[in-house]
Amino acid sequence: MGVMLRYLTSKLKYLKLVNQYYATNQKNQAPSQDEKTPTSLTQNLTTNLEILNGFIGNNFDLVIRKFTFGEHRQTNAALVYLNGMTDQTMINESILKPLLFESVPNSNPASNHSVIEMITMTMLSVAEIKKRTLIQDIVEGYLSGETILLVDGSPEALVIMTSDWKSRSITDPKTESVVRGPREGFIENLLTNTTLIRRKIKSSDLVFESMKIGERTKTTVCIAYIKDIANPLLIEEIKRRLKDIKTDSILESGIVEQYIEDAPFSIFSTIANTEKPDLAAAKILEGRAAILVDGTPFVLTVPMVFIESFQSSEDYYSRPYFASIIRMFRYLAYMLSILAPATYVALTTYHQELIPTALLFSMSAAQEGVPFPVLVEALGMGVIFEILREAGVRLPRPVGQAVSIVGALVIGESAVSAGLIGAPMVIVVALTAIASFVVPAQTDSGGILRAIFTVLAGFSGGFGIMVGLIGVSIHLASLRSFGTPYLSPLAPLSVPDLKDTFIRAPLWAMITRPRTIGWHDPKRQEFRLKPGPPSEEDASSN
Amino acid sequence: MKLEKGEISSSQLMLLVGSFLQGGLLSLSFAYAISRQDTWLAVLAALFIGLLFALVYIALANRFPGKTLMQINDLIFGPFLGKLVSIQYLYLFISSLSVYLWFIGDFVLTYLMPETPIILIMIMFSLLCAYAVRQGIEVIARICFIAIIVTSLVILITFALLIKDMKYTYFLPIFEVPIGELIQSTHIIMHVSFSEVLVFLMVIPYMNKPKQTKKSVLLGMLIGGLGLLTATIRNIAALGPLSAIVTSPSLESVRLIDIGKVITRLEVLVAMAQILLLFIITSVLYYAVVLGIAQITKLRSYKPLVLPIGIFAITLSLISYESSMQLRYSTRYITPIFTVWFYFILPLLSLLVAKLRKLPK
Amino acid sequence: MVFLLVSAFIGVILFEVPSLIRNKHWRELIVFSIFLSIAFVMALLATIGVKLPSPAKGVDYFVEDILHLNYQ
Repeated sequence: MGVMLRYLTSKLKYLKLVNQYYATNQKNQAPSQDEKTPTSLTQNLTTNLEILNGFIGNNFDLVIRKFTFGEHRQTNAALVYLNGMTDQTMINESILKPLLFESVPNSNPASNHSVIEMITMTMLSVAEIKKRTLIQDIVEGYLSGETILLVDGSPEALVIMTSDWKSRSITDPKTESVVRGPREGFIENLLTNTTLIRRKIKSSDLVFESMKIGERTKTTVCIAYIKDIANPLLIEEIKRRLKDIKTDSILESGIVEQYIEDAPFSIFSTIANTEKPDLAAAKILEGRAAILVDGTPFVLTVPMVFIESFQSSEDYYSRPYFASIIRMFRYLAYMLSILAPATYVALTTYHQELIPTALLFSMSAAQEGVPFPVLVEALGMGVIFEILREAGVRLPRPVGQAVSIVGALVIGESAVSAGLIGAPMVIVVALTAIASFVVPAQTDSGGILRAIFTVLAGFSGGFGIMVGLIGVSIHLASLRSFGTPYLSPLAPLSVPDLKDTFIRAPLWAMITRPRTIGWHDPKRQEFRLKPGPPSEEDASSN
Repeated sequence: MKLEKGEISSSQLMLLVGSFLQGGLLSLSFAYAISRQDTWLAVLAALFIGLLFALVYIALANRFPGKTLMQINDLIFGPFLGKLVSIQYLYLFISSLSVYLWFIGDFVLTYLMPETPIILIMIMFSLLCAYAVRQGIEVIARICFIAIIVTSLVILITFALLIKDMKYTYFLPIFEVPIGELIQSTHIIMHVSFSEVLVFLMVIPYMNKPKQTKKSVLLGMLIGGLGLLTATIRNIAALGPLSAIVTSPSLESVRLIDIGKVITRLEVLVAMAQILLLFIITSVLYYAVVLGIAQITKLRSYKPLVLPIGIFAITLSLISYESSMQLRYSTRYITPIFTVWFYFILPLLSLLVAKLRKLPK
Repeated sequence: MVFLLVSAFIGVILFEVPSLIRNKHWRELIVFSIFLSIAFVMALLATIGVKLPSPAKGVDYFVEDILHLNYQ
């Protein structure tokens, strides 16, 4: 007892010391401005080159091209660029050629235009040129594939946009395939992604605001929204959360998502993502905001509500009747994928009287020689299924076919005939597995829920399942995503929006945007758009 | 002074009241033995009288907008007496809470899982309600929407499926039951379901449109009452004299449904709906208790109190009732009289005193 | 059984008390402790097996035998 007390007190003292250390360290963290390193360029070309070498030297892809230009070849200059990120043709044709072969008109020191100014205005045939003096900006530009032009005698450098690198071509997105609809997908390049969205929404109200996040990766992150429809408070909140991210690296939109989400401890994600431009455009048009991150084809959309995971873009491109049926099937499949193993366990362990008699005979016969209780079987099969699924994702392609056959036949078939698992169990697990892919946005949370429900069913039967269902509903009802309740339009009941939840009402009936998201500009289209053959009056008046 | 940031809308209040009343579905089984085939008359009478009482409660609430029951007591009776009155209401709520906990435990034990110790069921259920109460009244109101849809559907479907088994002769002779028994039956139904509307005086201040309180509560009572009535009619018509004997007429009548040997064993649905409703009732009562204690002791937030009071309620229910027979006996013969003080005399007294003192100034 | 009970109570304390202390809600802490101790004592007695008087039975006795106000 005394030992434990001493241990506790020493631990507390240690924690207090650690806290104090971090507190004082924060104050000493002045912006790392060493007095020795210069922050802006000087007038001398050689000194400038030395300074830049200090920052970016020792790299094999650094190219420094010194040359002279001017009427009498009197001015020294140097081009600094990163090989591999720049367009060589542009450098050769549009920068070097004019400078080397055309003369600078009237480099008179008495004139009030500097050399740099004159080069920019009259000689370089490049579209985007910026003047910079701070080393910080110059290095950033260099690292983004821009060419730096340093001229002797000028404290300014020209940062010329010549970025060009190899990127993937626009193909159909691998994770979201559709039967009907555009097959374009986002790629890793931010500018291409913004173009893809701009091509869908040709409105001057579509705004793209950008910022750079990540201390070392300096990833450009872009917020896309429509000025008059999106809630200005929402955009403010997104910007505030993005600005608060102070980390080293932002490599993917998932990292951004994890830093700005509303409920980090919940298993349900409150931010949606998509790889298709038409889906992103549709969400922007409803009043949401899209967050594009450079370097990844996955675009985030906020806010997200629970029923979004059950809606797919195809629903809107097909006619409403079949789309509504398919949507209801999706809900059914989701319920199945979460509750099927749990219901099976509950029925066979606790509520045998609920199984129809004929089925009861065959099930008990199948369960005859099985050594494990049903709960252990269910959990074991669940674990094996997750292992198979994960292995299937990571497999090198040639091996893929063989392994899936191994998984299906060997494990399932042989386990049953060896008496390790009952046959109904395999059916249940297979059904669950297939059903869990119907709603792709909820696969990860669905797996966890399935495990929780199975365990609950295992030790308290049907009552446990009810308790679990109510518990999950409470959790869902208390989640908010950037201010929007997660269960709208079900929870704060909004009847006009129910047209798009369980069924998909015909397009001409969806007159308003979702009430909690797009209430700034509620009307989406005109009334009375129902199509039909021309009526009698129209025909006769013509 | 609001202890919580949540707000509920008028329609949510209506549905909350409705699901609260429909939760009496199985507790009604106490009344069948007393007034056999005229139980539906008792339900109807209880509905009307309940509506009248609700008017009293709403009048009290509207006199002091934005204030919960405990605060109203303080204002009407002065600080010391007001706290005494509040403690009495709290006693009512806590004992109702323990009764419901016992009821759920007994229900699940008898029909679903006979071998589980009752305390485990109570603990699981209380943890669930504690989670809901901690999240606030707004979350509870959001769930009651789903609950009431599910239960209404279940009642309607079972009613429709039982039509072919119903014999209207079971209702006859009407008014055969002596009037004393009828009054007793009405009283039982009243104090089990309808008087619990008193609890809503704790919830009404969180509504965001105070003018619509009257409409919402009365409409909610109508919805709940109609649901109860339909269920009672279904039970009597399907079971007849059997309804007075079985422990739970609702479940037994649903057991009769057998359409082509496929649609059978629907009592699972009824059981699930009942558990859902009981959850809402327990949560609201739990919330009222916790909020009441927090307001009497003038705390800033009720959240820390949730767990200790839960444990207290479980222990209370375990020691209060030893068997369901005892609960049955109390509910049929003793508690109706006892609770008259709480849900009838005290509110009327409060309203009279408020009128006499011309509050609020 | 007593061990389970004690661990449950320690769980409750660990769950609630740190945030109360951090926000300096002393009044809430006091009321919380009072109720928790009452609940603890009751639960402990019930677990050990001490037969606590049942308030419901007390009410029944009161109304039935003393006041004779019950039905039947």
